[in-house]
Amino acid sequence: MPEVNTIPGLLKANYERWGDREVAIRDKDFGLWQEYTWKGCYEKVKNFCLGLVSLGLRPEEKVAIIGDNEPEWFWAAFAVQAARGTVVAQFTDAIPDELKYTIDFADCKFVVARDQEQVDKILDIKELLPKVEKVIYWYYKGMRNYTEPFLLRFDQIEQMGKEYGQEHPGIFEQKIEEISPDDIANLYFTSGTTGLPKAVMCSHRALIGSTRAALTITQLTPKDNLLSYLPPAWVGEALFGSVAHLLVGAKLNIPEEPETVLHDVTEILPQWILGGPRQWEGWVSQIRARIAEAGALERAVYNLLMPIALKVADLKLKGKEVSFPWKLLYALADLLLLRALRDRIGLSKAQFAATAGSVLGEDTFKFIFALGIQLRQLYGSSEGGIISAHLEDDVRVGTVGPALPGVEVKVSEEGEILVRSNYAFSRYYKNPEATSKALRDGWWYSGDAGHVDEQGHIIFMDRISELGELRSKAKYAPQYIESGLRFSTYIKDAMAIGDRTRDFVTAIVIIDFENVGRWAENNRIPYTTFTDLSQKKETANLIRADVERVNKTLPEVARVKKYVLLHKEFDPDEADLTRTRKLKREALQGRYGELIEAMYAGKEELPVEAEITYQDGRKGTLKTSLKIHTLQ
Amino acid sequence: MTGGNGIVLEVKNLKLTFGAVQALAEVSLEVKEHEILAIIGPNGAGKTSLLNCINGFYRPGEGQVIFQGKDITRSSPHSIAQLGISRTFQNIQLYTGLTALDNIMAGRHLFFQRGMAACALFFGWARREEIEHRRIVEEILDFLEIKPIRKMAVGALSYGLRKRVDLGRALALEPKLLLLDEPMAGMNREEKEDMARFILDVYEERGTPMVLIEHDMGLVMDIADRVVVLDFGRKIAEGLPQEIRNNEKVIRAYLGKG
Repeated sequence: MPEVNTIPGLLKANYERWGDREVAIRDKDFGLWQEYTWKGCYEKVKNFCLGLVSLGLRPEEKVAIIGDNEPEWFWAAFAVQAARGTVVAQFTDAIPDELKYTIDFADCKFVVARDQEQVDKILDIKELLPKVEKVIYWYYKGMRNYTEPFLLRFDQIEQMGKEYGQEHPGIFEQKIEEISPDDIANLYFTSGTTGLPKAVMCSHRALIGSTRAALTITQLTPKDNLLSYLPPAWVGEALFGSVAHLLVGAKLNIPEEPETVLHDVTEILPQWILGGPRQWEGWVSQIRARIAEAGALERAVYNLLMPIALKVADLKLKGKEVSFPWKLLYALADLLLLRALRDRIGLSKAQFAATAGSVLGEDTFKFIFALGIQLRQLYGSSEGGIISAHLEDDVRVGTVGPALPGVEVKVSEEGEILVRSNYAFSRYYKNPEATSKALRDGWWYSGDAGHVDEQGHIIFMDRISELGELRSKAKYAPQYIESGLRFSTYIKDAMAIGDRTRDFVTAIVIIDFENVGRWAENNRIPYTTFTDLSQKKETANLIRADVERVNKTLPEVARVKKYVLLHKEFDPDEADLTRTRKLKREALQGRYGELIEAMYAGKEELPVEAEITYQDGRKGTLKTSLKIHTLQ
Repeated sequence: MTGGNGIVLEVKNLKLTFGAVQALAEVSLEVKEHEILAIIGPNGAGKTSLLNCINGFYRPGEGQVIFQGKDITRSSPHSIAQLGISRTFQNIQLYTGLTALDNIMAGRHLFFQRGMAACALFFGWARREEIEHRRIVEEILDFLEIKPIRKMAVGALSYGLRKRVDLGRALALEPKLLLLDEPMAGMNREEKEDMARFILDVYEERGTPMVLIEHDMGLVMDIADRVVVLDFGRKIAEGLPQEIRNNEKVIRAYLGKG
């Protein structure tokens, strides 16, 4: 069979191979796993595609999709691609302003939105989106009284497609034939840690190629399960979810709600799982929190055996020999504890567990590894696809593994990582200037600082622009400090601060309200709100221990000297974080400028009046006083 | 199935006394087939007492309650529930030890046809029946966006979520009239907006007429079609939200005599 290199082509091949006999997608809804066979999915995609065609969708036109992971999401996406169109995936928590920019910039002709909430957002800005002709939705609750003529239901499109297909027999198959692997399948907006987001154009060849490359270092069979929980607006979802699903024929499992992922995953036992550092850190702190609440016996087993597992993990990760008694003890720990823990978090079958996005703290990494899960660091992006990943039994802390087959990596004189591969992005949409800057002589200039070691492992440090430098010219890695702090059960977020005008490093720390709250209750410390809890003396002492722990691993000059516990969380709605929950440093430094100045000026506390934005867009203010903590 | 002229519920000259305290004095009002009627008034005005009379918790001394043309003044609460009047409570009345799912399922007990033995054996008809009820309950969970907490004990839920479960339980009765007793009390702005949206969704999707007791005038203005104002057990005003806002008597009742 010739190699198929288009997404709809793969869907068709699977349909011809398995038809009604195999399940393609499983979606948890109404508390049950609803199953859709390859035939069912193929028909949905076919009808929806022809429906869009009958509404006038032409090749190279764009369709925005906004909604949580649900079968309709993928059917709509595959349908757009089958019509040789391009999918512009949106984050569900994007505010109307962001949607206006991305949808308009990408020249979207149609918008497919999940529900009333998303449709309302589009209606708010519809006048500013003259190029959008139709808005289609697939979850009908609350939509009965919407009369806008450009609003259509998902099943209406399917019906239109069905009729169109009867009038034009064979047209869908013909369209699939016409797709070229170099057609642009998806448009991803870079998360925009710097300036306005750029739109990365990824071809079918690029997306499928990256997943093929991943398959050279791990296995996946049609019997296996994949979990679709990453936001589809992130390239990681395609590479580890829908594209892998089509390429191999593995079942795509979709959790009920974003909030139920941690539970639903235990029913799926996925073979592959990709998470950002925050997801993994979430898993680890969940285990710790549960252990803290468990009975005395469970706690005793954990306290006895977990150190053994950590010790063995440490030896392995450092490449040292594990002596026989330790091996024996580890086997015992595995039998009595680790297996249960893996099962409890749903990762007992995770062959290819990977972390990507930003740097994962060493402690978290070691903890997952100690559980018996080979957590591989993966290095990739919308532009470069999957660039490198650890091989099985060659997992090392501090590197992101060797380059995958078909990928070449070198380091420029400035210390920038350059990538050349068959499955890099095509170009930036409507931005030739950025394209010519990023793509030169076939190399992609990643903007990441790093180097390649003797064994060919790539070592990623940080974005070139993100390494911090103090007045003394000493460098420090803000992300390392932050992820070290976030490892604590009691810390949700942190930002390290320091630049050429500063003599030392400071930090803004966000407490984990749930866990600190529980700790406070157990210790009979009364508190009212987040603000109140964050400024308690007891909380300060609790967090101080964590800051000291991180400081111990740092050279003297790079240590955190002062920090504050912020009175609220960082919030994507206030542009504190990007949608993948990375910190927006410049915005944060602006917003908390006064606070930062106060830390460096040696003040002990600072009254603040913060503007907060409610979820409905209203604004309010909050007055409080923040204590500044100093470490010796 | 209305009394003819599009009126679902008619309350006529209702009087209710507790000893010397007159809780309700000659209160009359009508709920139309397609409306959300808000009842407002200061604390102790008799709002909850009125709801209690409607769904049979209290027996009024005088007057009549007519639901769909039928006099239900002397009916018991459970037979009124069977007729299709369902309510939520100011102080949430749920089984705190049961899950959200079971609480809403309990709201459907009126519809269970099979006997205890058949249900306990979970066999044949009883099984089919249970599955059908579960499907309806799952739809309510979906509607109110509480699927993630389906299996959580209600006692462990936040106040806002418990209120939502309480509404779910009321909906499980497939009511023809819904009485909501301060569904948004004690909530923050955001929870209130959520709740208001759910109430409007229920109204739009199911067309269920509602009687709503609420203090937040802003919300009443937003969602009610008509407003009735009670003060010391008497109806002092009735009309469109806009009229009520500018009504002298109402302002005096709320702000004290000027």
